[in-house]
Amino acid sequence: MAQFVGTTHQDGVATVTLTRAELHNAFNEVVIEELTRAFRDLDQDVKTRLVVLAAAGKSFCAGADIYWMKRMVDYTFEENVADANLMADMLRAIRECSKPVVARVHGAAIGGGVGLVAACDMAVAVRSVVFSLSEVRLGILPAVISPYVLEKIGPGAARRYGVTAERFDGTEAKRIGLISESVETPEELDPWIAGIAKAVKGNGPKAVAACKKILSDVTGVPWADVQALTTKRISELRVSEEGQDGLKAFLEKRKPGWVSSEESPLMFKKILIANRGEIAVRITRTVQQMGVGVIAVFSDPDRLAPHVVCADEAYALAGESAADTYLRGDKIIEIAKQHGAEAIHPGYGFLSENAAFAQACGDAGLTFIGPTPEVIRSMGDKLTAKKKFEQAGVPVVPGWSGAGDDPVYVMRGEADRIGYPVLVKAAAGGGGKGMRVVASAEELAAAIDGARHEAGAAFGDARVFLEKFIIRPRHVEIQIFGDTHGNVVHLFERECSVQRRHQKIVEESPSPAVSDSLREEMAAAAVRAARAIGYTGAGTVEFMVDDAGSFYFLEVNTRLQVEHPVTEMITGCDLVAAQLVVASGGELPFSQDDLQRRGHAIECRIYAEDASRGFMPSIGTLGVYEPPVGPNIRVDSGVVQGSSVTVHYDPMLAKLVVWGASRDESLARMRWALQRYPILGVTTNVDFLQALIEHPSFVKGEVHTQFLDETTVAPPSTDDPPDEALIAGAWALSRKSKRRGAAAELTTAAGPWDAGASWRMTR
Amino acid sequence: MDVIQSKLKTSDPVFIENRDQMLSHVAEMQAHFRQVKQGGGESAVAKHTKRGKIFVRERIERLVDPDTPFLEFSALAAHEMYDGRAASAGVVTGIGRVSGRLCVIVANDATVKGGSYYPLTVKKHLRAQEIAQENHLPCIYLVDSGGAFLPLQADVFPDKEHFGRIFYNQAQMSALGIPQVSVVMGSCTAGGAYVPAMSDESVIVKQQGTIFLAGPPLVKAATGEEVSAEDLGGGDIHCRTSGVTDHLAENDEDALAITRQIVEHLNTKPPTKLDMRPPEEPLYDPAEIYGVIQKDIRKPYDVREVIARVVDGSRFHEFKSLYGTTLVAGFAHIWGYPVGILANNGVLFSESALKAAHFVEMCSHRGVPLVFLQNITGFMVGKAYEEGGIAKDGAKMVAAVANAAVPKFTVIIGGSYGAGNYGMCGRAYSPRFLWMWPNARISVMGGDQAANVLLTVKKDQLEGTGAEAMTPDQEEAFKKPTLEKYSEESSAYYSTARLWDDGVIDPADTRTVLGLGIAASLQAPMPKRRVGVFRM
Repeated sequence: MAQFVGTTHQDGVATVTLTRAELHNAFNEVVIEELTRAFRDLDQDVKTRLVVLAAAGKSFCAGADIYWMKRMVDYTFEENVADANLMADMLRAIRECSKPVVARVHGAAIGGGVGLVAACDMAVAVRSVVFSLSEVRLGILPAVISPYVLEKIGPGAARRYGVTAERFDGTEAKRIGLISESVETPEELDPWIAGIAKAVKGNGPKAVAACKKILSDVTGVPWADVQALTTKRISELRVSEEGQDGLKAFLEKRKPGWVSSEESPLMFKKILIANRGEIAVRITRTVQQMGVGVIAVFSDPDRLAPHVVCADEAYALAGESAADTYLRGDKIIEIAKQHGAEAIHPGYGFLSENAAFAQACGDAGLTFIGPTPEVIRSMGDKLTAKKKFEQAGVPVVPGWSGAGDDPVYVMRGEADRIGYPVLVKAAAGGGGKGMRVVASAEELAAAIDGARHEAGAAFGDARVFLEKFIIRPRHVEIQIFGDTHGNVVHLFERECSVQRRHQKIVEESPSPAVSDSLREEMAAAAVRAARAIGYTGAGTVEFMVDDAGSFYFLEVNTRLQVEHPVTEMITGCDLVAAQLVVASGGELPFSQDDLQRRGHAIECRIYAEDASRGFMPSIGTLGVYEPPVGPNIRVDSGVVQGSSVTVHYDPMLAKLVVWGASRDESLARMRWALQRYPILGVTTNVDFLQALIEHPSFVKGEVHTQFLDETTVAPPSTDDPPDEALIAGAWALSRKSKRRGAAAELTTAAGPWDAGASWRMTR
Repeated sequence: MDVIQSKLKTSDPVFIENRDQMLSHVAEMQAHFRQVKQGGGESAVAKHTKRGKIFVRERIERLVDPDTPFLEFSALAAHEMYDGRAASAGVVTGIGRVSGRLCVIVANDATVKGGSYYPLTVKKHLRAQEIAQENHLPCIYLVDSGGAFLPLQADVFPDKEHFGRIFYNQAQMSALGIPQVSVVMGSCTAGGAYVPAMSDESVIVKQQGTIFLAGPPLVKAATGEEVSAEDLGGGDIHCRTSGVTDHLAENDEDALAITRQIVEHLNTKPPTKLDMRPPEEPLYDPAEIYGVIQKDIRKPYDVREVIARVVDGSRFHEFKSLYGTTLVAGFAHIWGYPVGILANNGVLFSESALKAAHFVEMCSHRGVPLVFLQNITGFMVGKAYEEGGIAKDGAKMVAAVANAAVPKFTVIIGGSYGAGNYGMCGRAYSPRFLWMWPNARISVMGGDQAANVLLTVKKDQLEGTGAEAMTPDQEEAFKKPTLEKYSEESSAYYSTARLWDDGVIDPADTRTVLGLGIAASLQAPMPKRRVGVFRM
């Protein structure tokens, strides 16, 4: 293991980082030796196409280490020669590395540091960094580095800066040719390097190495000999396999071989969707549209469910309960391997935030479509998540975590500091279990006791922590997305304050309560934190927002959210498609600048439940089920007419999502759609949703997470038609739509048996 | 020029009233369909699938080509019979496209009394074979049955059209070059053992399918030998030792995949060709048929409004439109296939019958398939008509229909009474398929007429004995049982339960069903035309 030099690899780019940050990355014999070795290794590494020389800490490189130099004072002449040779070897290792080398200069480069920059093929620096050939000030001279510096900046500049030891900045460095580009901020360094990497990766690897070499080799060669050298080199390359391929590719207007294998990341051929219901159907649609095969899995009751019918292949997870079927990671992985899936999309719920499952996928050679197991694990633990976010400078709810099992008197002191009311919360918690609201100091001890007991029983982890209890907060979340190339973007917010039994039922974006500046602040915090934890894939950072417009980090959901269509409607992005691209190693298909908000979208979750009886799930068979159809209406449905709603799974039937140019327009459209959503056979919350979105407080956007606990949403005025009329109406509608569908099919096909419709007399 | 101009207004209250009436008919029908699609019920299906077996309807789904239709026969067979326990008579039959080839599929539903054969199960199985034979469609039997339903053995076993006929048909069809393929997916005991044995090619599922003439209990009783079902007649025995079956499948899914491969290698001949046109949707929405059909079955309407919603482009080239106007005849295309259509527009007179006979002869001569839209109370009665020879004119129509060699298709869209049923190609006239709309009625005469006939006879008797005449109340009471009996027995469900038809269909599906049926009929060569003696 190297002590002061680290090397990382990603997609053909190797980054060599000096990590002796506290000493400004100054050279000593260890740094020199490690750097030399790193470059010699990379010279041989066929996968590496470009090397980036970067540094950690404030400076790029401060040249030779003072303490090391102090020792040199006692060295003999011979010893000094040997030492200087080590340094010279290092610079040559960089100069002669067969891969192009870019210096990433984010901070000062002094003395030998300038030599380091000069030895690289290219350099990019922040405009404000300081360069200086400072040796003469110390009574020594820039000797070993001089050929490199001279080559880059020419005799004029070399003479001036060598003898004056003046400081100069990035602008000057660019003018004299020491660096290739100067940028304003450190954030611009990597994009510039990415551009270089893209360009290099498009070129023939052998050609690039040969080019680098010939430019060295022709230097100083007498004119009489140079011709023989250059003509030999070009002839060699022309007849090489790579040269042939490149020339042919140009003439045939195709990409050369080295590009196809390296530039376009391989999209999966087939994936397995480890979920059911609407989300499995929704994922299937996108995956199929991308030309990727879909394997569905199903429990016994789901044998003929829509998610099974629409998949390309489907395999049984024998059993009924979720525990026997959709939660059986082992069975699912087995099926995936047996039938050639390369990746598993977990959807939401079930195994989506199960780090062990993500790990098991990886161990089985399958790609888990989601963040890494480490990220899932650390975000799954609320205490860890909170700490990490706090470190990344994201505001968190004032609170105190301690060790989780601290004595009550310690916690009482902390509670006093935070101020009542406080919330006692389970570290491993969720769904309101192990949670207590405490109004005063007297109640604290009992609450901690109760919460620990409950948490221990529910999660096998009795750790609890304290948090300020925010009264009537709004729930606003930021959609984030990261890839494995270091890109992280946000896709704006979703307001999900309307909740019943801690579950969201209506979500919208933009939030009526979020100003442009608040949105920017929250999004920036979310992106910062996501970068800090190396987040990849789709995720959601949840915040509480209080009356004063202060926001506090709540938790991270490391998966695709139920309400993601709201974001898709306002941004026009397909989040599932992006998940697949990222999981297969590609770059995010959109940059932050690409992402623009348009209009307003709102989602209502359609549940088989009885709102008048405490939202009790309702089971039965859907005799009539006709989702509304119209412009800017999207229904993600997990059921069809005839489907059964059972006790085994979540009773959500569908998500009704609409878009409008304004909030008023989308609310009007939602009203229209809810009125045209006949569902018979089970009790649903459609009437309740309708009353809800017509409630004056909701219309004004004045909601919070306790809204439904505190407000009675009046049932809708009931001059509803009787069920018979609904049945007739639904039938008439269904006949119509089916005919229309058939009409399109008939005209394109030869005969009724080939019309491509799986018509059944019995439906 | 030939396009039918509809005179209906969909906003007309009468239209709406009619439509609502038909919607309730269709809703009832769909409710019945949903019922039978459960097979023997949820728990029986659960038990079935727990054994690793696939439910019969799902077996068919996996056997047929993806995204292709399945033309099911008589889904409501045995409806309200056998205590309502025999959903679809315990066997699902129909035409499906397998590996690109239209096949008749006969699939036992083991969740219905273990797939045993009730009398109507036998009748349904035989009807499916008849369809296969007439239309030259390969047969695929998905066997999963305990054999005859023993309590009713007298109605299942001995007669000509009983259980034994299944194997007779297999032998006959095999001889005619109509491939017979069996897939043994459950038990296949005693007589049932002959289904795979009589097949050209057969598949059996390992550890699941069994074939033997006598099961383990019978063997023990007879010889004292104790043997497991699998050792006695399992897949291994029959594929490795006895040679009763040819392909050993791992499970249901594998068996169906093998079956699809078998069909790929049948080397079947190209079907009969017709002068096709590109298919075209009707100008009017077929679902508007709902509003065309009068709520009161006796109320007249123009049957061209129905034709306009069935045929391609609503184009109808009418024949003799000014003559014998109570019968509408003409040429059209359905799904691109040329057809001759005969449809009732009132009671049949001599002229209508002559026109029909002429038209049928013409289609038969030209090789154009015939479609009958039946809504007929019968032939006109009365002295003048008898004198005019309506009996011999009716006979010409009946004779022409009986001997027409082209494929015939009948849809009973309203009433089907008396001799009208014969002339309009009722079940006895061997149409390739006969379907009923849910509003249709079928009986020898209308309930009113029957009750009145019986009342007249009764009154004549009473008069002969010199007894007192009946009061109006007594007359009503006398008529009531007849009216009730006719009402029950003439319903479409009563008919379809007894296999007097090939199924009750949604009127809006008429065009689709006809298209599928015509396409299937063209798999057989066009028979030679024969003409008998017409009484002039």
